Amino acid sequence: MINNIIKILKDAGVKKWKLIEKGVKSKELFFVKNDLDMNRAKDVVKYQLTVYKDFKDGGKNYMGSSTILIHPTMSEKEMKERVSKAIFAAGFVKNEPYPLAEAIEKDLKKPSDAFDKLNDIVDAIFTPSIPDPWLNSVEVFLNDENVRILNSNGLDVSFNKNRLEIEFITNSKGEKEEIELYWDLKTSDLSPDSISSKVLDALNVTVDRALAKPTPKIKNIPVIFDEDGTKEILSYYVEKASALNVYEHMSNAKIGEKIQGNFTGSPVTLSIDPYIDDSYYSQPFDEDGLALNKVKVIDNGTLVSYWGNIRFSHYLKVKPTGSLTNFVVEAGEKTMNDLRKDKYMELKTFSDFQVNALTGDFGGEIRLGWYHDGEKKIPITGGSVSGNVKEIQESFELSKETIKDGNYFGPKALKAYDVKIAGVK
Amino acid sequence: MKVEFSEFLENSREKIRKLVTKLNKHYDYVSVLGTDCYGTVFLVNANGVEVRDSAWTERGFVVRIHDENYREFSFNTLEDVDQLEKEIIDSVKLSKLSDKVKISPYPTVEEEKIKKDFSSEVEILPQSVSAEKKIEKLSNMKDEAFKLSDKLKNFNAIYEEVQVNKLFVSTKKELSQSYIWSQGYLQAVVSDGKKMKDNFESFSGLKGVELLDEMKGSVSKTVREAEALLNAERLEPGEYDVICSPDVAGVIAHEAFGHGVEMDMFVKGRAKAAEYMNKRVGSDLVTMHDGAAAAKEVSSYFFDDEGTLANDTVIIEKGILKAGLSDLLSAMKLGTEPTGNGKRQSFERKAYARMTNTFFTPGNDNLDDMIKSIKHGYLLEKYGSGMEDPKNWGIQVMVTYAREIKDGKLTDKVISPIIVTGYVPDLLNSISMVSNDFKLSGSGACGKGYKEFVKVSAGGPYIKAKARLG
Repeated sequence: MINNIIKILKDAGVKKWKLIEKGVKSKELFFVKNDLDMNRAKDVVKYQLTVYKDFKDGGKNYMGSSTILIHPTMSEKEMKERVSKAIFAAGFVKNEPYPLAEAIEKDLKKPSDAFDKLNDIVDAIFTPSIPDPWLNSVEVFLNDENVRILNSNGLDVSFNKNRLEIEFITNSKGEKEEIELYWDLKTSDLSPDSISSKVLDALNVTVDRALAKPTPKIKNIPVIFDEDGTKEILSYYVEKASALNVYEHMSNAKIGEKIQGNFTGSPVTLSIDPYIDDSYYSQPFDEDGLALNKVKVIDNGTLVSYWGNIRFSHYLKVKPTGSLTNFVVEAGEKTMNDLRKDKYMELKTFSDFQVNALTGDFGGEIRLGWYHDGEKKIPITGGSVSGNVKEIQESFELSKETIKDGNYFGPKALKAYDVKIAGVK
Repeated sequence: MKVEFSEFLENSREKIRKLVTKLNKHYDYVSVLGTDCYGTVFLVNANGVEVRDSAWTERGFVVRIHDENYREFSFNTLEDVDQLEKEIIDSVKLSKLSDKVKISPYPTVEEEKIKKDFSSEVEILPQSVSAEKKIEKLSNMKDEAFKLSDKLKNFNAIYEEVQVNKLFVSTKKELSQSYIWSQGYLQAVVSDGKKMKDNFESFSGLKGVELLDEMKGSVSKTVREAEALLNAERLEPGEYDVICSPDVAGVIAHEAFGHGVEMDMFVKGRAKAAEYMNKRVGSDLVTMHDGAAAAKEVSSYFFDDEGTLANDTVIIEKGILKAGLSDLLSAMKLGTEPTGNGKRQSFERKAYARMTNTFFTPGNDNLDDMIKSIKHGYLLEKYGSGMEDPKNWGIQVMVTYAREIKDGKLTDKVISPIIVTGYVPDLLNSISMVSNDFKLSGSGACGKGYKEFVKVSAGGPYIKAKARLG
């Protein structure tokens, strides 16, 4: 198929192109409690083709592009028509020229035995067996992915990757009504012990939601964001440092700028890192085929580098780092016990915690947290928390303890001093 | 103009029929859904232009068989049917299963014999207008925006057109459909040197290129509202009288009793609504529908991804919960009728019970009277996102633009952002006025949890309610 596509490009006179072949095999299991409701499998392959066209207009040089999907069931006639339309469209795309990734050849594919481990994974998920709380429903997606990226410069790189996603719901009886919490584990760590431990942690926390009281209406209380909120708030800095966002005026961050203001709390030191162990998102090359490396983006609260793909880095006249979402933040100096002092709220899970990368506004409905009144710790639920990263960044404190979650490795918790709580009672 | 069915699927019919017949020798129920969806996104902004295939582009097949439970295999090659038959049998086989779990048996699908081809119409077919013309129209919108404000830093004009083609062949059914939807966004990014804000307007419908002409009338509104957001104030958290625009009302309908009545959640014991059938969940003014046949928007199809014909389901009638939304397999487990809500993100994903076009029906009030009735509150005009909690009936709606109402009049004060939270029945029972307007919006996508994205629309009239704002 790849040879056919390259021949069609050559025949059509296309001098610049990029082709990504992505094959995915999967095994998927869907459980309602301990009953297997459905099993699915998948074997698909897709080709994403970008054609580039150099042209002049009004004395200015442009490099237009158009990206299309080629399906394996396409006839040669159909592929030729699609390529021809893409070339035509690229002729109206007036973008500044930029280079494609330079030629390298590397095949990093390794034999995969992921599907042989599926039964052990299922066994691990259902190992923590407690009458209350319990696993209400579980969906398991185990992918074996093969990627090959080629371009007209002679680049030809390949790698493969196992990705495991476990979406599960934990329930508990509760005093007044049965409650649930939603979890979505994305990892490349297929070891049963690690999976059982994560399920057990989720079950343990579920008990507290069953006991939770309505979030109290309290003003001016420090809030400890535990895991989810911390990762989301710190991802604001990843977006601010994105070459794409800077070029598109979605971020006004400048290299050398004290991006965290005149902080008195914990400094942010942040790197993008393609090799976080067992991360669902770790990979050796980005979509341009550019080899990825760990790059420090923010050092002690100061922006030291943008991160981005070849195109937007070229536009900003900075060295391309490659485009990826994995990020690492250095831990703070205070332990969780240090942060948990006096009166505070600690917020664990939300309906959907969101940070607006443009404005810094953040917020979410509280599904589970704890209110510590100085003496006792009470589980709480309902109401919302809101604030703005720019208003908390000079004083927030990061924990010494770290977590690894999806595309993030960094402090487990962030304590903020200027956020608003919309309590229920 | 009539939308023509996919040539690829038409040419694949015979092979698919053959595959179903072959597999029927091994399994008592077999169905194959074939998809060929294609479209293009055109994006123009201050820095350049982008043309790419729509993220909704897909072409492939999913086969479902019954062998104690239901099993599926997704594939996207169709050369040798004999070879495919062997591959499917091998792929759906469960070689080994942990002794901590067991298979949940299902009965066989009982279906009526039906053979039908459906197609819709749009004013202007996407292929009848060149890429050059579409880029030119979007560029004109971008240029107009930059003439309006010196605070404007960027302006995105985005148009997306998608043709959906599906072929469903099962033991007794053979259905085909083709329709076109389109969506567009105008997004203004402004800065006063210190703050940055953005604002967007969205557009959608069972439409073709005619959508581009609808979009051009909203450039000024998009820019002006973005400028107003630079002076937006933060809200003091609390309970307020609010009027929700059709957009915001639609998200409330969607999150509150859309996700809340997806009946696969009943099977899992994840929906509190199961305990409230035929009970009061809202005020007398609340009537709510969902259905691919209930309205004309981006989720109006003729049959769902399991071959069930489209429906119009009355979920809430005058405040009483009447019915849920069901896919085929959940209906079999629950002993109810499927409602035509079995939808997949693509041929590569499982079908779940999902919403289509979900809305509150209009009432008899008008917006002016609703504003006059409020001493101090807010007109919530533009939503950002929403999230459901079907088990415990919590709701979260992120609103990006609200105007203050004081002594029955709108003031110049703009509030942003706002989180609406609450207990769903409290919110719906507090609805005290419903306008005679009606508008549906279908841009973006709806997930189940944080995945399985599908096209839906939502909307209705303006509604007046009491809500907790943060």
